[in-house]
Amino acid sequence: MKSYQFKADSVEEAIRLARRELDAYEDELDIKIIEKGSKGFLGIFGTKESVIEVSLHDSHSERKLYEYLKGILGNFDEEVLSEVKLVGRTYRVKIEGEKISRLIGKHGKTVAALQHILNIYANRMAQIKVNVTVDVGDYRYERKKLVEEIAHRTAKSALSKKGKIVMEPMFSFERRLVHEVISQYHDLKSYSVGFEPYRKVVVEYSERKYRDDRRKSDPVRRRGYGDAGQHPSRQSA
Amino acid sequence: MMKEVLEHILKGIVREPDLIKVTDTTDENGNRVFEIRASESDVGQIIGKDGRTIKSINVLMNALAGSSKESFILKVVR
Repeated sequence: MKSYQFKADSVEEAIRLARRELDAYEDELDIKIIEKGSKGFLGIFGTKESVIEVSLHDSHSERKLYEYLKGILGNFDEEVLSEVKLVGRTYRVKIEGEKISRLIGKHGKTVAALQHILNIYANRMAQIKVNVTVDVGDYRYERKKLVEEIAHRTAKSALSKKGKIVMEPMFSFERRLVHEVISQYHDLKSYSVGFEPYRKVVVEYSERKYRDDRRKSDPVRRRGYGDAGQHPSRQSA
Repeated sequence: MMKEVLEHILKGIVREPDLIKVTDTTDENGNRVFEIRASESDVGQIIGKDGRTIKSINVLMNALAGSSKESFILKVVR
């Protein structure tokens, strides 16, 4: 975690400086006193500056992101409740309210737009690459169930046709879900083709596929794939 | 009101927020046009890859503006 050093005449002053510079509350800072400092003799001889080292808690960036979001939604005429939580490297943003379908948009277009903007904001704050996911109401959950259902249906028809099916364009998190579903099928593989925002998943019948299952693994089938742990169907989502 | 939201969004994503200036005008066809001025190094960030960011901002603003069916034109000028 990145840390910052502040110097001032006293520790209290250094903390105040840190809070102002970093726009943080005291409980959002981890403070380490490097040098307590001393006033010296008569304030002239042997004066030493106080030095502190601070780093920011997760709660600081959560609050910053929350405030940024509030600034955007403040103009939305319906009442909304939002919440930001950092899990690992992902900020989970939840927005709830009664009439928020407008915030979802057609095919989740507005959520995707909001998510994109929050992503830029969060990455501007952070030193490492972070992600933001926005969940408005139950949209994402409903969509997840629907996408999984479609993936299973596509899988079944690819199996019966023993052929290849090109699916409709989807968002990256939806494509990831499809890849996950397809990887459960023995004789299918999936990969994505095309460019955003029209990138789509192709589900293809392929008998050579093996599964990471010891009981069923067949050494003959494994040949040609090199790394045995690498799944041939796992390509970037 | 929409102008303030636009400024807020933009200031959060650029390197030099103090240089963001938005002017609110109407063109000859009656469309509401926002002209965005920013530091030269931030223009690319505002537009985004394939215009994705500026499009996202537009989508979001239209959703926030709501039922008024009004649509905005965002122009980034140097």
